[in-house]
Amino acid sequence: MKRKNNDTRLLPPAGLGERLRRDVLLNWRLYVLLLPGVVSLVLFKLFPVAGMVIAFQDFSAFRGITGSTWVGLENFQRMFTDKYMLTLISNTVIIAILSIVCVFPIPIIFALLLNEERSRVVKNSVQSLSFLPYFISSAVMVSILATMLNPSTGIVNVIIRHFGGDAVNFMARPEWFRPLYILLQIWQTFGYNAIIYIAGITAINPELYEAAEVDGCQRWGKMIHVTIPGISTSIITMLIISIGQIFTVQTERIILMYNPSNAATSDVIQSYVYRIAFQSLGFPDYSYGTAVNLVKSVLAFILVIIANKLADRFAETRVF
Amino acid sequence: MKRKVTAISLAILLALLMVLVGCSKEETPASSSKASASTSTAVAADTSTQDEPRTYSWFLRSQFITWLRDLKWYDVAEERTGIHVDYVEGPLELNDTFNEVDQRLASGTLPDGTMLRLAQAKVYGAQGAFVDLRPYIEKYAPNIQAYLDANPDYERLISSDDGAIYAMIRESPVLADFIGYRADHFRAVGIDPAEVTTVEDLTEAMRALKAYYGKDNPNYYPFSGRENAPTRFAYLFDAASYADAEGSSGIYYSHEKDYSFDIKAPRAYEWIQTIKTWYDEGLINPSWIDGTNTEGDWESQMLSGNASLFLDFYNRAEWFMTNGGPDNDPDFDMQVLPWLVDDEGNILKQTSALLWRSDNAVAINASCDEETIRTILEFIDYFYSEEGMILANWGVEGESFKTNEDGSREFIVDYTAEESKPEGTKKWSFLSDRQTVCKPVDQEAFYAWNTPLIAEAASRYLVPEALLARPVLVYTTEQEQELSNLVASVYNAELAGLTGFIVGNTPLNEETWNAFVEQMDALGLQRIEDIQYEAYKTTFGL
Repeated sequence: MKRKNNDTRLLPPAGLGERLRRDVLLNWRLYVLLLPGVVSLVLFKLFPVAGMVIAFQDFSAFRGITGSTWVGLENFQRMFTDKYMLTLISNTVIIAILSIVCVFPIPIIFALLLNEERSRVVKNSVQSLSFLPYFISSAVMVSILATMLNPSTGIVNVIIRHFGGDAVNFMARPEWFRPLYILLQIWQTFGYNAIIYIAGITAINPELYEAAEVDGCQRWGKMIHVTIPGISTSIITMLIISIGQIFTVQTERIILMYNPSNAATSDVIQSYVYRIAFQSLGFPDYSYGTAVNLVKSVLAFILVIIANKLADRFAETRVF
Repeated sequence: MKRKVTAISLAILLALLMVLVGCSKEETPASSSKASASTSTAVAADTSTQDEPRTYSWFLRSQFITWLRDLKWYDVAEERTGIHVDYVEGPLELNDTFNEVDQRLASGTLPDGTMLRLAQAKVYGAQGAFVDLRPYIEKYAPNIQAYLDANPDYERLISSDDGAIYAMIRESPVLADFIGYRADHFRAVGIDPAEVTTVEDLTEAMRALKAYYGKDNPNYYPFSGRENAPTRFAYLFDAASYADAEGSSGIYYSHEKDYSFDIKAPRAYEWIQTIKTWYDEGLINPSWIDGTNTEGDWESQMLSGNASLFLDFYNRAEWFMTNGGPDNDPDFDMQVLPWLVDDEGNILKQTSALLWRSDNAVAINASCDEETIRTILEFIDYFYSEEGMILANWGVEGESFKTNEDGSREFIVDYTAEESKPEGTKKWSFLSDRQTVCKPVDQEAFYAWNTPLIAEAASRYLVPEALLARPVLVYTTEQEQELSNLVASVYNAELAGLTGFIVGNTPLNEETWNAFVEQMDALGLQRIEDIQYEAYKTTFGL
């Protein structure tokens, strides 16, 4: 195989099409293996993006995209004049920022601490246990939380009462909504996200640790001067991905945790879009919901570009 | 090499399968309707001589299908008409079912007919998705035509802006909620229910109950319930939403009975202040106010003695008696409290369900041929005939009811015995509040088909002088579309604001209250009221 590659290099320079043809001929087995993934990507990821065109239509499920009326930027105008939109954007952004500030560092810290554990049995057990909540559905997770925080029978309030305090209906307090949401987010994702960092740590050359030891580094020193720089590329990549998802809150979790009492902090763009598109009284406004989502995606894309540029400039690493 | 070829073939096959799955469509039930329609074309018009029943397919919420399959009278109806309906199961939840109608329209998999919201039928009907029933009703459904002629309000309601009728709506019983109470708790505390006549009396009764049962039980709250607690009590303060010749206030659209309130009513502030007092004193379950008390929580609280009062669906008192109440506590005795009155003795009028609710519509797929349309309409028409009405509301004479000498009818089967039969067992049941088929309701039969506790309470309390006027308003499609979007944000904001006042997230005073009302107006409440009033004027020709 290597020889053939070298042979290819010896050929006179060719155009992109020709090079691609040769590459396909040469590595056709790999391309066949790639095919299902590409088809899946095109069918289920790229093709549906074209459906966002309904943001510029008065979409009718019966008429479809080709038969629906075009309304230009009407849905976007409506969005920017919607008096409720400011509250929704503010709630969404606050939750998103809290998610990055509070949730993002936890798997890194967890991976670093787990790396310091010497017992392989303990290490593997802890990693497996931390991974499990990722597979619990949001509905079950919110139910567990609601049961634990039940003002009458929940364990938390039983303890509060035991120490002479008054029961608190945490699920109904607007000031408690964000901490609880973030807590669930951490609980559900920290074990899963830590895998990326644990994999990165495993790939660090052990000679670097030995060199650090020679230079007099203790555990903290090795962590700060070897481990963290060793996984910095993964950290930045994950940070950029997180910024890309800044407006993407967990809609089903929000809807499950939403109630009239905590609406001041829990009503976000997605829950509003859900109401407009799927819970309206006979007029599901798919076009408006898509328009809101499109604006959200464009803003997230701009943020990703900025984060990528900043990462390139200050950390000399980037995703694209 | 052979293994490589196999692996590559598998990869290609997988890719092809994915493409096929991605691009394939579910088999269109409507196409089967063509087959059934062609079958129906071949049969003689006289249904009584047919060997094979004529059939058509119908999309319905799965729960409704379960109910239908257990009904004895429904089987008789199919037998008498010679028409069989193949039901296509929708989701369990009502809203999901309406959403699936959209999805089926988009994918071309809608059966011959479907349940849907009236608004959906009007919007998609005008686009060509549903049959304009008007000419076919005239041709094939004389009883429905007679019903339209006798009820011009109904005809106006179901007619589209272009004059077509894309859907019909079944009738609903006149429903209002009852206050149920634990009579054994009242007796233990020494409260005479006959003396609980005003809101103040009710508050005092709750205080006495709290002092007695809440002394050693921190989880006891006299009043409990499910969903939207504050709004349920608005009528007690003359603060239900309305639309009349003078104007409209509050969200009336789709909230004619349930969760009907008006924050601009003269006594609205007093209403919230009273609920706040109940909340602060622990007289009402705080989780209910917060919006976190589920139906299961409420039922458990009532059955376990952690609550003594509720305000809910008319037959819930009976439900507690037959679903574990006396099993949990031999003294368990649930009764219905009479209507409350104001200081001058006037009944505090309750909101009630509309006779025609817009989420109870039925429409026929435009892809059906005339024979299928005829079959569907003939089946529905049967329930508008005298024979069909008697069958669907009373059953079969001699089997489920008898006719007395004075001409009145009386059930001869026992309500509790029939209704307690397990799912999947054929039974006589006449719960017309449930959506089964599109038909009129015999109000007398509906309330007669209850236990004595509820039948008696209904005959005493569900009288016109105790119910608020709930006119059926006819909106244009454009008005309804705007209302639908405005209500989606304003209703939740109103509810959140009211809850905030009650639980103390926002201080309740004249200043904050007025600011709240202004904020809701700016959000769209005023516009909602304007549209409702316009619709009222149009409906009643003012």
